[in-house]
Amino acid sequence: MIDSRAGWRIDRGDAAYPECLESSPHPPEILWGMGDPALLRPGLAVIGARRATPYGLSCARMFAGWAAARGVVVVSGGAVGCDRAAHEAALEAGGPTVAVLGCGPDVDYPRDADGLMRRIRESGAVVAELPWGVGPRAYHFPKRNRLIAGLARAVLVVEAALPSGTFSTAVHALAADREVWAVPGSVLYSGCRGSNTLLSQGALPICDVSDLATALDRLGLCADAPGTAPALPRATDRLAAALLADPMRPDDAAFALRTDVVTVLRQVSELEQEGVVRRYPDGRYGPP
Amino acid sequence: MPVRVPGRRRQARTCSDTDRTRYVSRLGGPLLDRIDVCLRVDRVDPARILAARASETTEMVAQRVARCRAFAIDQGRDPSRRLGGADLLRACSLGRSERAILTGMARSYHLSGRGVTRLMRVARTVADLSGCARVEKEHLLEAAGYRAWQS
Repeated sequence: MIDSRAGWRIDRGDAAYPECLESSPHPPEILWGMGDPALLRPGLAVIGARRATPYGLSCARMFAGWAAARGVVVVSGGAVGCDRAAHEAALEAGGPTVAVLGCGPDVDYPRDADGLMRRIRESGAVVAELPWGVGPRAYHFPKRNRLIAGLARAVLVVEAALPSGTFSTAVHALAADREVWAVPGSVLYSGCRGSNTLLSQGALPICDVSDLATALDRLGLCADAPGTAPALPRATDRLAAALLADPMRPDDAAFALRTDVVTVLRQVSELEQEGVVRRYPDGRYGPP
Repeated sequence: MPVRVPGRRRQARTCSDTDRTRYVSRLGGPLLDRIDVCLRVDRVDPARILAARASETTEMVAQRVARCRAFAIDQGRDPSRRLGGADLLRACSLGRSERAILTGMARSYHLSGRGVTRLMRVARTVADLSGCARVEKEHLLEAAGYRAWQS
């Protein structure tokens, strides 16, 4: 348990066993991990769908990056989509992050193409209640979700369907007496129904960075002066407004705005140059 | 190329995002550099086909292409020959602001030398289509919209 790179195990009852897990329902008997075990302190869980929209990914990046830059431990599940966006943003901000896995802490799942897991093991921490070398099993993930909730003081849901793994993490969080916060999503897309439902059930809406700052400050997680939300990209025209609210392909945008595709293509290229929008791999343009 | 149909059209999806990323990452930069125009052709919503106004016929498009070629020849260029280097620069006769835009694009899209040439060539054709002797800002912007996808 000294060489953190080599991995460690913490048994329940050890001095190093995280207090926040001990106080949550069904704490695991043994924690296996790699990285810095001191990061197992109450943090902010940032979670969301695997198959997330660009909007969900942008929100995960923005809020996780902001919190991590202020020293708040960003906890997530290491899955593709929102989880990875949150970890990635935390590392980029040079802040602490913890990945809670549904497999052994040394197993790269999903395929660690961009070396994210390796970087988390080096500058953050990876934990699991499963020992070395155990591969991912579908039934591990729901159990893993309670650890994400347990290691967090508050859970921020950026995008979740109903029912979904993310939504179940929010339910675990309520059972563990954690706060649940949610980012409002589109009312037209079923993949946001879970997060929007949480909001209507009383989750705290996080609409910008100052909301997050106020909420983190109230929990004593971060003492940065709230109320300093950075400016969002300004929609200078109809096309920019449409794409920022709802990413579209140029032909769909042309249809929606009743103009021709070539005009939209030229405008969209210009907006991309100005950094107002970005082209996604699926051909749509939307928030960067 | 494996296609992942985005958004709500899930039923038509044939491969996952991961497969797609893996596939695109196999296409090297030098290969992508050699593709002039990369255009997505998606399934059109049937309702939109029925609501569509009369569009161009093949004959009309052929006429446009013929006009475009005639314009290029009139400008003293051979449309069957690929322009490059100094000839291409002269043919585009970019103004100060157009140069600035092109430089900005080359930087933000990480274009190689070949990529810049290609973008200018496509912009030259776009300008020919609208009968413009010089390549202007809007032509460059449109050409940038046709560039190949990066991984």
